[in-house]
Amino acid sequence: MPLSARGVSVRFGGLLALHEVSLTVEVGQKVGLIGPNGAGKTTMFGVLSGHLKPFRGEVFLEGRRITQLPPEARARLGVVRTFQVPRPFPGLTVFENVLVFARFSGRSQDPEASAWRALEGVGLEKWAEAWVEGLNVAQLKRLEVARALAAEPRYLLLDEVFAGLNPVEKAALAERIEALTRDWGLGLLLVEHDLKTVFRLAQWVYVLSFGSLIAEGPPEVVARDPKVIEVYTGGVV
Amino acid sequence: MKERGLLWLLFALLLILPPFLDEYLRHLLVSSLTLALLAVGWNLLGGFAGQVSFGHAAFFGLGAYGAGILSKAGLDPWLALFLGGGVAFLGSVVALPILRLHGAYFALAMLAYAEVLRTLAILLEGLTGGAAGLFSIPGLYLPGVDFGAKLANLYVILGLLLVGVGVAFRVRYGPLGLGLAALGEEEAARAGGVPVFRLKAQALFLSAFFSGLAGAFQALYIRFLEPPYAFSLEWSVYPLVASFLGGRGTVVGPILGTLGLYLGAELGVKQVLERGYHIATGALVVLVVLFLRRGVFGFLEGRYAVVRPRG
Repeated sequence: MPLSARGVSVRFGGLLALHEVSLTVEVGQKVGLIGPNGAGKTTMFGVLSGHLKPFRGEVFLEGRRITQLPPEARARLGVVRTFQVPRPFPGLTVFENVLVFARFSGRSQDPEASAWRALEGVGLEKWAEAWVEGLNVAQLKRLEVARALAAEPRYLLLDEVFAGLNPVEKAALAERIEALTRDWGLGLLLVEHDLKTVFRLAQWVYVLSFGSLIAEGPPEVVARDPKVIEVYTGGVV
Repeated sequence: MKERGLLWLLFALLLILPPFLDEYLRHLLVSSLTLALLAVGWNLLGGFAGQVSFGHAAFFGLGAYGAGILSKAGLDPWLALFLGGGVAFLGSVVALPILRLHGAYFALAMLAYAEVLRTLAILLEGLTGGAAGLFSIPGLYLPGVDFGAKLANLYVILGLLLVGVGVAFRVRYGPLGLGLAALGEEEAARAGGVPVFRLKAQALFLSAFFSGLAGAFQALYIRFLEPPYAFSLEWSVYPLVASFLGGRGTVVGPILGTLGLYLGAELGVKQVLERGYHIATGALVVLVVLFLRRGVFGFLEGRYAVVRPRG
Protein backbone atom coordinates (compact mmCIF):
# COMPACT_ATOMS: atom_id res chain seq x y z
CA MET A 1 0.00 0.00 0.00
CA PRO A 2 2.26 2.78 -1.21
CA LEU A 3 2.56 6.50 -1.51
CA SER A 4 2.78 7.20 -5.21
CA ALA A 5 2.81 9.91 -7.82
CA ARG A 6 1.49 9.12 -11.28
CA GLY A 7 2.26 11.16 -14.36
CA VAL A 8 2.88 14.33 -12.39
CA SER A 9 3.66 17.54 -14.26
CA VAL A 10 4.35 20.90 -12.64
CA ARG A 11 4.77 24.21 -14.40
CA PHE A 12 6.22 27.44 -12.97
CA GLY A 13 5.17 30.05 -15.50
CA GLY A 14 6.86 29.03 -18.72
CA LEU A 15 9.13 26.48 -17.07
CA LEU A 16 8.14 22.83 -17.03
CA ALA A 17 9.62 21.81 -13.69
CA LEU A 18 8.33 18.24 -13.81
CA HIS A 19 7.20 16.29 -16.83
CA GLU A 20 5.02 13.22 -16.29
CA VAL A 21 6.98 11.80 -13.42
CA SER A 22 5.80 8.70 -11.58
CA LEU A 23 7.32 7.22 -8.47
CA THR A 24 6.33 4.93 -5.63
CA VAL A 25 7.40 4.52 -2.00
CA GLU A 26 6.26 1.44 -0.09
CA VAL A 27 6.03 1.22 3.69
CA GLY A 28 9.35 -0.12 4.99
CA GLN A 29 11.15 0.82 1.79
CA LYS A 30 13.99 3.32 1.43
CA VAL A 31 13.82 5.21 -1.82
CA GLY A 32 16.27 7.77 -3.13
CA LEU A 33 15.49 10.63 -5.49
CA ILE A 34 18.57 12.13 -7.11
CA GLY A 35 19.46 14.46 -9.92
CA PRO A 36 21.59 17.50 -10.63
CA ASN A 37 20.66 21.01 -9.49
CA GLY A 38 17.32 22.13 -10.85
CA ALA A 39 16.28 18.61 -11.86
CA GLY A 40 12.97 18.93 -10.02
CA LYS A 41 13.68 16.93 -6.86
CA THR A 42 12.37 19.48 -4.39
CA THR A 43 9.43 20.21 -6.69
CA MET A 44 8.53 16.52 -6.61
CA PHE A 45 8.78 16.72 -2.86
CA GLY A 46 6.38 19.62 -2.74
CA VAL A 47 3.90 17.68 -4.85
CA LEU A 48 4.04 14.69 -2.50
CA SER A 49 3.76 16.81 0.66
CA GLY A 50 0.96 18.97 -0.74
CA HIS A 51 2.89 22.24 -0.76
CA LEU A 52 2.64 22.25 -4.57
CA LYS A 53 -0.26 21.22 -6.79
CA PRO A 54 0.56 19.55 -10.12
CA PHE A 55 -1.27 20.75 -13.21
CA ARG A 56 -1.39 17.18 -14.51
CA GLY A 57 -1.12 13.82 -12.78
CA GLU A 58 -2.23 12.48 -9.42
CA VAL A 59 -0.85 11.59 -6.00
CA PHE A 60 -2.18 8.50 -4.26
CA LEU A 61 -1.86 7.38 -0.68
CA GLU A 62 -2.77 3.76 -0.18
CA GLY A 63 -5.29 3.82 -2.99
CA ARG A 64 -6.78 7.16 -2.04
CA ARG A 65 -6.35 10.15 -4.32
CA ILE A 66 -4.79 12.98 -2.27
CA THR A 67 -3.66 15.33 -5.06
CA GLN A 68 -5.82 18.21 -3.82
CA LEU A 69 -5.26 17.67 -0.08
CA PRO A 70 -3.33 20.47 1.69
CA PRO A 71 -0.08 19.64 3.55
CA GLU A 72 -1.70 19.69 7.00
CA ALA A 73 -4.23 17.05 5.94
CA ARG A 74 -1.47 14.88 4.45
CA ALA A 75 0.53 15.17 7.66
CA ARG A 76 -2.47 13.83 9.54
CA LEU A 77 -2.57 10.91 7.10
CA GLY A 78 1.07 10.17 7.86
CA VAL A 79 2.94 11.85 5.00
CA VAL A 80 5.46 14.18 6.63
CA ARG A 81 8.33 16.10 5.10
CA THR A 82 11.39 18.07 6.18
CA PHE A 83 12.71 21.23 4.51
CA GLN A 84 16.00 21.59 2.70
CA VAL A 85 16.68 24.86 4.50
CA PRO A 86 15.72 24.13 8.12
CA ARG A 87 12.67 26.05 9.23
CA PRO A 88 12.57 25.92 13.01
CA PHE A 89 9.75 27.72 14.81
CA PRO A 90 11.44 30.76 16.34
CA GLY A 91 10.73 31.64 19.95
CA LEU A 92 10.15 28.02 20.91
CA THR A 93 12.44 25.53 22.58
CA VAL A 94 13.77 22.49 20.76
CA PHE A 95 11.27 20.29 22.59
CA GLU A 96 8.37 22.61 21.78
CA ASN A 97 9.41 22.63 18.12
CA VAL A 98 9.10 18.87 18.04
CA LEU A 99 5.93 18.88 20.13
CA VAL A 100 4.15 21.01 17.51
CA PHE A 101 4.44 18.15 15.02
CA ALA A 102 3.61 15.48 17.62
CA ARG A 103 0.48 17.27 18.72
CA PHE A 104 -0.93 18.66 15.50
CA SER A 105 -0.37 15.66 13.27
CA GLY A 106 -3.00 14.04 15.49
CA ARG A 107 -1.27 10.67 14.98
CA SER A 108 0.24 10.25 18.41
CA GLN A 109 -1.62 8.88 21.43
CA ASP A 110 0.86 10.64 23.68
CA PRO A 111 2.39 13.68 21.93
CA GLU A 112 4.91 14.44 24.67
CA ALA A 113 6.21 10.87 24.62
CA SER A 114 6.40 10.93 20.82
CA ALA A 115 8.31 14.19 20.96
CA TRP A 116 10.84 12.73 23.40
CA ARG A 117 11.20 9.56 21.39
CA ALA A 118 11.85 11.61 18.25
CA LEU A 119 14.44 13.78 20.01
CA GLU A 120 16.20 10.69 21.32
CA GLY A 121 15.98 9.17 17.85
CA VAL A 122 18.17 11.91 16.42
CA GLY A 123 20.23 12.43 19.58
CA LEU A 124 18.95 15.90 20.44
CA GLU A 125 17.44 15.06 23.83
CA LYS A 126 20.13 16.97 25.69
CA TRP A 127 19.08 20.12 23.84
CA ALA A 128 15.37 19.75 24.54
CA GLU A 129 15.16 22.79 26.81
CA ALA A 130 17.35 25.02 24.66
CA TRP A 131 15.92 27.83 22.57
CA VAL A 132 15.96 26.81 18.96
CA GLU A 133 17.87 29.98 18.01
CA GLY A 134 20.94 28.52 19.72
CA LEU A 135 21.32 25.45 17.48
CA ASN A 136 24.00 25.04 14.81
CA VAL A 137 23.34 23.84 11.26
CA ALA A 138 23.92 20.16 11.99
CA GLN A 139 21.58 20.31 14.96
CA LEU A 140 18.94 22.15 12.95
CA LYS A 141 19.07 19.40 10.32
CA ARG A 142 18.52 16.82 13.03
CA LEU A 143 15.71 18.92 14.45
CA GLU A 144 14.02 18.80 11.04
CA VAL A 145 14.19 15.01 11.15
CA ALA A 146 13.03 14.89 14.78
CA ARG A 147 10.00 17.06 14.08
CA ALA A 148 8.96 14.87 11.19
CA LEU A 149 9.45 11.72 13.28
CA ALA A 150 7.40 13.17 16.13
CA ALA A 151 4.41 13.29 13.79
CA GLU A 152 4.57 9.47 13.75
CA PRO A 153 4.70 9.31 9.95
CA ARG A 154 4.20 6.28 7.78
CA TYR A 155 6.02 8.04 4.97
CA LEU A 156 8.96 10.23 5.81
CA LEU A 157 10.17 12.62 3.12
CA LEU A 158 13.67 13.92 3.82
CA ASP A 159 14.86 16.83 1.71
CA GLU A 160 18.66 17.06 1.65
CA VAL A 161 19.13 16.51 5.35
CA PHE A 162 22.78 15.67 4.75
CA ALA A 163 23.71 18.88 2.96
CA GLY A 164 26.05 21.12 4.92
CA LEU A 165 27.14 18.36 7.29
CA ASN A 166 30.73 17.19 7.62
CA PRO A 167 31.53 13.52 6.88
CA VAL A 168 31.36 12.48 10.55
CA GLU A 169 27.98 14.16 11.08
CA LYS A 170 26.79 12.70 7.79
CA ALA A 171 27.70 9.16 8.77
CA ALA A 172 26.11 9.56 12.20
CA LEU A 173 22.85 10.89 10.78
CA ALA A 174 22.78 8.20 8.07
CA GLU A 175 23.16 5.55 10.71
CA ARG A 176 20.32 7.00 12.75
CA ILE A 177 18.02 7.28 9.75
CA GLU A 178 18.75 3.72 8.78
CA ALA A 179 17.95 2.51 12.29
CA LEU A 180 14.81 4.62 12.48
CA THR A 181 13.33 3.38 9.22
CA ARG A 182 14.06 -0.17 10.29
CA ASP A 183 12.69 0.19 13.82
CA TRP A 184 9.74 2.40 12.98
CA GLY A 185 8.80 0.60 9.76
CA LEU A 186 8.64 3.78 7.69
CA GLY A 187 8.53 4.39 4.00
CA LEU A 188 11.43 6.74 3.34
CA LEU A 189 11.94 9.08 0.42
CA LEU A 190 15.35 10.66 0.40
CA VAL A 191 16.10 13.62 -1.82
CA GLU A 192 19.81 14.04 -1.83
CA HIS A 193 22.70 15.65 -3.59
CA ASP A 194 25.25 13.37 -2.07
CA LEU A 195 25.16 10.24 -4.23
CA LYS A 196 27.32 8.18 -1.90
CA THR A 197 24.85 8.55 0.96
CA VAL A 198 21.88 7.75 -1.25
CA PHE A 199 23.49 4.69 -2.79
CA ARG A 200 24.38 3.49 0.66
CA LEU A 201 20.94 4.00 2.20
CA ALA A 202 18.40 3.49 -0.57
CA GLN A 203 17.03 0.22 -1.90
CA TRP A 204 15.58 1.87 -4.98
CA VAL A 205 16.67 5.05 -6.72
CA TYR A 206 14.89 7.42 -9.10
CA VAL A 207 16.94 9.83 -11.20
CA LEU A 208 15.53 13.13 -12.41
CA SER A 209 17.04 15.38 -15.04
CA PHE A 210 15.45 18.57 -16.34
CA GLY A 211 12.12 17.54 -14.82
CA SER A 212 11.98 14.09 -16.41
CA LEU A 213 12.65 10.69 -14.97
CA ILE A 214 15.68 9.26 -16.80
CA ALA A 215 16.35 6.14 -14.76
CA GLU A 216 15.15 4.03 -11.86
CA GLY A 217 16.26 0.85 -10.21
CA PRO A 218 18.43 -0.60 -7.45
CA PRO A 219 21.37 1.69 -6.63
CA GLU A 220 24.04 -0.59 -8.11
CA VAL A 221 22.19 -0.65 -11.44
CA VAL A 222 21.43 3.07 -11.50
CA ALA A 223 25.04 3.90 -10.65
CA ARG A 224 26.19 2.19 -13.84
CA ASP A 225 23.45 3.58 -16.07
CA PRO A 226 25.16 5.57 -18.88
CA LYS A 227 22.35 8.19 -18.89
CA VAL A 228 22.86 8.80 -15.20
CA ILE A 229 26.63 9.00 -15.57
CA GLU A 230 26.18 11.47 -18.39
CA VAL A 231 23.94 13.91 -16.48
CA TYR A 232 26.32 13.89 -13.54
CA THR A 233 29.56 14.18 -15.50
CA GLY A 234 28.32 16.10 -18.53
CA GLY A 235 29.60 13.19 -20.65
CA VAL A 236 33.22 13.84 -19.73
CA VAL A 237 33.79 10.42 -18.20
CA MET B 1 10.84 35.77 36.34
CA LYS B 2 7.67 33.74 36.36
CA GLU B 3 4.81 35.26 34.44
CA ARG B 4 2.09 33.78 36.61
CA GLY B 5 3.62 35.22 39.79
CA LEU B 6 3.95 38.65 38.23
CA LEU B 7 0.31 38.56 37.17
CA TRP B 8 -0.90 37.65 40.65
CA LEU B 9 1.20 40.43 42.15
CA LEU B 10 -0.19 42.93 39.68
CA PHE B 11 -3.79 41.94 40.30
CA ALA B 12 -3.31 41.92 44.07
CA LEU B 13 -1.98 45.49 43.89
CA LEU B 14 -4.83 46.61 41.68
CA LEU B 15 -7.32 45.03 44.05
CA ILE B 16 -5.89 46.50 47.25
CA LEU B 17 -4.76 49.98 46.16
CA PRO B 18 -7.87 51.71 44.73
CA PRO B 19 -9.69 52.49 48.03
CA PHE B 20 -6.62 54.50 49.06
CA LEU B 21 -6.48 56.56 45.86
CA ASP B 22 -8.29 59.78 45.00
CA GLU B 23 -10.99 60.01 42.32
CA TYR B 24 -8.57 61.35 39.73
CA LEU B 25 -6.13 58.46 40.12
CA ARG B 26 -9.02 56.00 40.11
CA HIS B 27 -10.23 57.54 36.86
CA LEU B 28 -6.75 57.15 35.38
CA LEU B 29 -6.74 53.52 36.45
CA VAL B 30 -10.18 52.85 34.92
CA SER B 31 -8.98 54.30 31.61
CA SER B 32 -5.68 52.45 31.66
CA LEU B 33 -7.28 49.13 32.58
CA THR B 34 -9.78 49.54 29.74
CA LEU B 35 -6.86 50.08 27.40
CA ALA B 36 -5.09 47.10 29.00
CA LEU B 37 -8.06 44.86 28.26
CA LEU B 38 -8.00 46.11 24.67
CA ALA B 39 -4.27 45.37 24.52
CA VAL B 40 -4.76 41.87 25.95
CA GLY B 41 -7.37 41.34 23.23
CA TRP B 42 -5.09 42.74 20.51
CA ASN B 43 -2.21 40.56 21.70
CA LEU B 44 -4.24 37.35 21.29
CA LEU B 45 -4.05 37.94 17.55
CA GLY B 46 -1.13 40.35 17.13
CA GLY B 47 1.10 38.70 19.73
CA PHE B 48 0.32 35.01 19.99
CA ALA B 49 -0.72 34.54 16.35
CA GLY B 50 1.75 37.11 14.99
CA GLN B 51 -0.96 38.81 12.90
CA VAL B 52 -0.23 42.47 13.59
CA SER B 53 -3.47 44.41 13.21
CA PHE B 54 -3.72 48.17 12.64
CA GLY B 55 -7.49 48.09 12.93
CA HIS B 56 -8.63 46.87 16.33
CA ALA B 57 -10.65 50.06 16.62
CA ALA B 58 -13.10 48.05 14.52
CA PHE B 59 -13.75 45.61 17.37
CA PHE B 60 -13.54 48.24 20.08
CA GLY B 61 -16.10 50.37 18.23
CA LEU B 62 -18.37 47.42 17.49
CA GLY B 63 -18.32 46.44 21.16
CA ALA B 64 -19.00 50.02 22.22
CA TYR B 65 -21.89 50.53 19.81
CA GLY B 66 -23.23 47.04 20.45
CA ALA B 67 -23.42 47.63 24.19
CA GLY B 68 -24.57 51.23 23.82
CA ILE B 69 -27.41 50.46 21.44
CA LEU B 70 -28.60 47.40 23.37
CA SER B 71 -28.47 49.16 26.72
CA LYS B 72 -30.33 52.12 25.29
CA ALA B 73 -32.94 49.77 23.86
CA GLY B 74 -33.74 48.71 27.40
CA LEU B 75 -31.63 45.60 27.76
CA ASP B 76 -29.95 45.03 31.12
CA PRO B 77 -26.61 46.91 30.90
CA TRP B 78 -24.72 43.92 32.26
CA LEU B 79 -26.11 41.73 29.51
CA ALA B 80 -25.43 44.53 27.01
CA LEU B 81 -21.80 44.60 28.20
CA PHE B 82 -21.16 40.98 27.25
CA LEU B 83 -23.33 41.15 24.13
CA GLY B 84 -21.11 44.06 23.10
CA GLY B 85 -18.22 41.61 23.07
CA GLY B 86 -20.50 39.31 21.09
CA VAL B 87 -21.14 41.98 18.47
CA ALA B 88 -17.38 42.43 18.06
CA PHE B 89 -17.08 38.67 17.69
CA LEU B 90 -19.65 38.78 14.87
CA GLY B 91 -17.61 41.58 13.34
CA SER B 92 -14.58 39.30 13.35
CA VAL B 93 -16.52 36.60 11.49
CA VAL B 94 -17.12 39.16 8.74
CA ALA B 95 -13.39 39.99 8.82
CA LEU B 96 -12.33 36.35 8.37
CA PRO B 97 -11.29 36.72 4.70
CA ILE B 98 -8.72 39.31 5.80
CA LEU B 99 -6.86 36.50 7.59
CA ARG B 100 -5.87 35.16 4.17
CA LEU B 101 -3.58 38.18 3.87
CA HIS B 102 -0.12 38.42 5.38
CA GLY B 103 2.06 41.07 6.99
CA ALA B 104 1.50 44.64 5.86
CA TYR B 105 -1.45 43.64 3.67
CA PHE B 106 -3.23 42.16 6.66
CA ALA B 107 -2.46 45.19 8.82
CA LEU B 108 -3.73 47.61 6.20
CA ALA B 109 -6.87 45.63 5.41
CA MET B 110 -7.73 45.71 9.12
CA LEU B 111 -7.17 49.46 9.14
CA ALA B 112 -9.56 49.78 6.20
CA TYR B 113 -12.10 47.58 7.94
CA ALA B 114 -12.18 49.92 10.95
CA GLU B 115 -12.60 52.89 8.62
CA VAL B 116 -15.50 51.22 6.83
CA LEU B 117 -17.21 50.58 10.16
CA ARG B 118 -16.65 54.18 11.26
CA THR B 119 -18.32 55.39 8.08
CA LEU B 120 -21.17 52.95 8.56
CA ALA B 121 -21.67 54.22 12.10
CA ILE B 122 -22.14 57.69 10.66
CA LEU B 123 -24.46 56.56 7.87
CA LEU B 124 -26.71 54.21 9.86
CA GLU B 125 -28.31 57.11 11.67
CA GLY B 126 -31.42 55.23 12.75
CA LEU B 127 -29.35 52.69 14.63
CA THR B 128 -26.32 54.62 15.85
CA GLY B 129 -27.55 58.19 16.06
CA GLY B 130 -25.19 59.02 13.19
CA ALA B 131 -22.64 61.79 13.47
CA ALA B 132 -24.56 63.38 16.34
CA GLY B 133 -23.81 60.34 18.46
CA LEU B 134 -25.55 58.17 20.98
CA PHE B 135 -26.50 60.00 24.20
CA SER B 136 -27.57 59.00 27.70
CA ILE B 137 -26.61 55.36 27.45
CA PRO B 138 -27.86 53.64 30.63
CA GLY B 139 -24.73 52.63 32.54
CA LEU B 140 -24.00 49.62 34.73
CA TYR B 141 -26.22 49.28 37.74
CA LEU B 142 -26.24 47.28 40.97
CA PRO B 143 -28.50 47.98 43.95
CA GLY B 144 -26.60 49.80 46.65
CA VAL B 145 -23.53 50.46 44.49
CA ASP B 146 -22.70 53.93 43.24
CA PHE B 147 -21.59 53.57 39.63
CA GLY B 148 -21.37 57.34 39.40
CA ALA B 149 -18.20 57.01 41.45
CA LYS B 150 -15.03 55.57 39.96
CA LEU B 151 -14.41 52.78 42.44
CA ALA B 152 -17.22 50.45 41.32
CA ASN B 153 -16.25 50.92 37.68
CA LEU B 154 -12.65 50.23 38.53
CA TYR B 155 -13.48 46.87 40.04
CA VAL B 156 -15.71 45.95 37.09
CA ILE B 157 -12.97 46.62 34.54
CA LEU B 158 -10.48 44.84 36.79
CA GLY B 159 -12.76 41.80 36.81
CA LEU B 160 -13.11 41.90 33.02
CA LEU B 161 -9.34 42.20 32.66
CA LEU B 162 -8.89 39.21 34.94
CA VAL B 163 -11.14 37.14 32.67
CA GLY B 164 -9.21 38.32 29.62
CA VAL B 165 -5.89 37.51 31.23
CA GLY B 166 -7.18 34.08 32.30
CA VAL B 167 -8.08 33.29 28.70
CA ALA B 168 -4.79 34.71 27.38
CA PHE B 169 -2.88 32.60 29.89
CA ARG B 170 -4.69 29.44 28.85
CA VAL B 171 -4.05 30.26 25.21
CA ARG B 172 -0.36 30.96 25.66
CA TYR B 173 0.44 27.90 27.72
CA GLY B 174 -2.03 25.53 26.06
CA PRO B 175 -2.13 23.65 22.76
CA LEU B 176 -3.60 26.65 20.91
CA GLY B 177 -0.63 28.79 21.95
CA LEU B 178 1.79 26.12 20.80
CA GLY B 179 0.13 26.00 17.39
CA LEU B 180 -0.01 29.79 17.15
CA ALA B 181 3.67 30.04 18.07
CA ALA B 182 4.46 27.82 15.09
CA LEU B 183 2.82 30.28 12.67
CA GLY B 184 6.14 32.11 12.45
CA GLU B 185 7.02 29.38 9.91
CA GLU B 186 3.71 28.74 8.24
CA GLU B 187 4.87 26.23 5.62
CA ALA B 188 6.67 24.14 8.20
CA ALA B 189 3.69 24.35 10.53
CA ARG B 190 1.41 23.02 7.81
CA ALA B 191 3.86 20.20 7.14
CA GLY B 192 3.39 19.20 10.77
CA GLY B 193 -0.40 19.15 10.52
CA VAL B 194 -1.07 22.58 12.06
CA PRO B 195 -4.41 23.84 10.72
CA VAL B 196 -3.05 27.33 10.15
CA PHE B 197 -6.24 29.10 9.11
CA ARG B 198 -8.36 27.53 11.83
CA LEU B 199 -5.95 28.55 14.58
CA LYS B 200 -5.69 32.09 13.24
CA ALA B 201 -9.48 32.28 13.14
CA GLN B 202 -9.74 31.13 16.76
CA ALA B 203 -7.20 33.78 17.78
CA LEU B 204 -9.12 36.42 15.82
CA PHE B 205 -12.45 35.50 17.45
CA LEU B 206 -11.05 35.67 20.98
CA SER B 207 -9.14 38.83 20.16
CA ALA B 208 -12.23 40.54 18.78
CA PHE B 209 -14.39 39.50 21.73
CA PHE B 210 -12.07 40.95 24.38
CA SER B 211 -11.35 44.09 22.38
CA GLY B 212 -15.11 44.50 21.98
CA LEU B 213 -15.61 43.93 25.68
CA ALA B 214 -13.22 46.82 26.36
CA GLY B 215 -15.26 49.01 24.00
CA ALA B 216 -18.53 47.88 25.58
CA PHE B 217 -17.28 48.76 29.03
CA GLN B 218 -16.09 52.15 27.80
CA ALA B 219 -19.52 52.90 26.30
CA LEU B 220 -21.30 52.05 29.56
CA TYR B 221 -18.72 53.98 31.56
CA ILE B 222 -18.75 57.27 29.67
CA ARG B 223 -22.37 56.75 28.47
CA PHE B 224 -21.90 58.64 25.25
CA LEU B 225 -20.63 57.55 21.82
CA GLU B 226 -19.89 59.13 18.49
CA PRO B 227 -18.29 57.46 15.46
CA PRO B 228 -14.97 59.35 15.38
CA TYR B 229 -14.49 58.48 19.04
CA ALA B 230 -15.66 54.85 19.05
CA PHE B 231 -13.65 53.96 15.93
CA SER B 232 -10.75 56.30 16.67
CA LEU B 233 -7.34 55.31 15.34
CA GLU B 234 -6.14 55.54 18.92
CA TRP B 235 -7.90 52.26 19.77
CA SER B 236 -5.89 50.62 17.01
CA VAL B 237 -2.53 52.17 17.78
CA TYR B 238 -2.53 52.11 21.57
CA PRO B 239 -2.81 48.34 22.11
CA LEU B 240 -0.26 47.75 19.36
CA VAL B 241 2.32 50.12 20.82
CA ALA B 242 1.64 48.96 24.38
CA SER B 243 2.10 45.31 23.39
CA PHE B 244 5.35 45.97 21.55
CA LEU B 245 6.55 47.96 24.54
CA GLY B 246 5.61 45.47 27.23
CA GLY B 247 6.26 42.26 25.32
CA ARG B 248 4.15 41.09 22.41
CA GLY B 249 3.20 37.45 22.70
CA THR B 250 3.47 37.36 26.48
CA VAL B 251 0.42 37.55 28.77
CA VAL B 252 1.60 40.27 31.12
CA GLY B 253 3.50 42.35 28.55
CA PRO B 254 0.54 44.21 27.03
CA ILE B 255 -0.73 45.12 30.52
CA LEU B 256 2.65 46.37 31.69
CA GLY B 257 3.01 48.24 28.41
CA THR B 258 -0.36 49.94 28.77
CA LEU B 259 0.07 50.88 32.41
CA GLY B 260 3.58 52.15 31.76
CA LEU B 261 2.60 54.12 28.68
CA TYR B 262 -0.64 55.58 30.01
CA LEU B 263 0.25 56.25 33.63
CA GLY B 264 3.75 57.27 32.61
CA ALA B 265 2.31 59.87 30.24
CA GLU B 266 -0.41 61.14 32.58
CA LEU B 267 1.55 61.22 35.80
CA GLY B 268 5.07 61.71 34.49
CA VAL B 269 5.74 63.16 31.09
CA LYS B 270 2.62 65.38 30.95
CA GLN B 271 3.61 67.05 34.20
CA VAL B 272 6.84 68.17 32.60
CA LEU B 273 5.83 68.50 28.96
CA GLU B 274 2.23 69.62 28.96
CA ARG B 275 2.13 69.82 25.19
CA GLY B 276 3.95 67.57 22.83
CA TYR B 277 4.32 64.76 25.35
CA HIS B 278 3.73 62.39 22.46
CA ILE B 279 7.27 63.18 21.34
CA ALA B 280 8.61 61.57 24.51
CA THR B 281 6.36 58.53 24.15
CA GLY B 282 7.33 58.23 20.51
CA ALA B 283 11.02 58.35 21.35
CA LEU B 284 10.50 55.65 23.99
CA VAL B 285 8.76 53.40 21.49
CA VAL B 286 11.55 53.87 18.96
CA LEU B 287 14.13 52.95 21.59
CA VAL B 288 12.24 49.82 22.62
CA VAL B 289 11.78 48.67 19.04
CA LEU B 290 15.47 49.26 18.37
CA PHE B 291 16.97 47.75 21.50
CA LEU B 292 14.37 45.50 23.08
CA ARG B 293 12.85 43.69 20.14
CA ARG B 294 10.78 41.44 22.38
CA GLY B 295 9.53 44.24 24.60
CA VAL B 296 10.39 44.79 28.24
CA PHE B 297 8.89 41.59 29.64
CA GLY B 298 9.88 39.58 26.59
CA PHE B 299 13.45 40.73 27.15
CA LEU B 300 13.41 39.70 30.81
CA GLU B 301 11.86 36.37 29.94
CA GLY B 302 14.47 35.65 27.30
CA ARG B 303 17.26 36.83 29.57
CA TYR B 304 16.25 34.52 32.38
CA ALA B 305 15.39 31.81 29.84
CA VAL B 306 12.21 30.51 31.30
CA VAL B 307 11.29 27.30 29.61
CA ARG B 308 7.58 27.28 29.45
CA PRO B 309 5.38 24.37 30.38
CA ARG B 310 2.97 23.24 27.72
CA GLY B 311 -0.29 21.74 28.91
